[in-house]
Amino acid sequence: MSLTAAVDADRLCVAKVLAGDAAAFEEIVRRWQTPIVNLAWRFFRDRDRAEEIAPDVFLRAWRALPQWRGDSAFSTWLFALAVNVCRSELRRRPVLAIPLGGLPSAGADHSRSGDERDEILRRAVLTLPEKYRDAIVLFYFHDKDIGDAARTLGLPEGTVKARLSRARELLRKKLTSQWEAFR
Amino acid sequence: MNHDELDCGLSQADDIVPSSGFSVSVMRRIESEAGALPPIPFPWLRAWPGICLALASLVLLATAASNSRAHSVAVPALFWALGSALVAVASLTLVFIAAKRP
Repeated sequence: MSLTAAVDADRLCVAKVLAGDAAAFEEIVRRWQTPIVNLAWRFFRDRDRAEEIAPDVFLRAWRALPQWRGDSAFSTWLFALAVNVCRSELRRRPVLAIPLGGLPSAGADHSRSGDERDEILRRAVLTLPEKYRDAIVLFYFHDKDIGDAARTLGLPEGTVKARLSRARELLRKKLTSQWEAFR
Repeated sequence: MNHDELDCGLSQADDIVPSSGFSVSVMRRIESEAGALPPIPFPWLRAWPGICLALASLVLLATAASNSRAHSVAVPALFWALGSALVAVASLTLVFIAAKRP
């Protein structure tokens, strides 16, 4: 489905739901379940928790549907709502930090794989202050599209760029020693 | 660790697929919420007479009480006061019944 067709399909579904056809919401759930579960997955790095939070996102979207003014894409509105739900949940119950030192080092019997290195990096993102974490998570979730990330966060692109830059700097400081172990 | 290494590491997609029953369970929750009866509004129309009677009785009660103090005519004033108090209680009971009925 092209982007325009998806946008039109969303508008149609929303109109049907608002007219009283609750079943029309299923099309929205089916279309957006994978992105929403994956957005939650990027915030929690825990499949169970991601699948626990994602239904709440849809339920809140259902309740707040009359408030969607239609001046932005439905997906932007839904992602922004998902980010808020994830933020609230993270404030309530933060992600458990896995100590980097607890992982096997490169000098040990086995070498760290690239996957393991990437996982360390992704988990390090979750330890960043909220505003930097959100910028990084959304930038990569939106396939490095600053505009989409900014729209989801409701911030100017310049602010998101600045936060990304600062976030990368913090990650570099945090991970340089661990990163060297992979070389 | 340079920008490219960081960018490359974070760009690696490791997306997950929602479990098979995900959309069904979401829709079940939505449908149960959609099917739930809306909260019953307060029946102001039926409650108004009771509220007015209660207020009027309270005013009478206050007037009677002040009169009995001013003129020291205790007996009729007390009757007034007792009568007003009874009407006030009855009116409040009416309001309560009106609010309880669907």
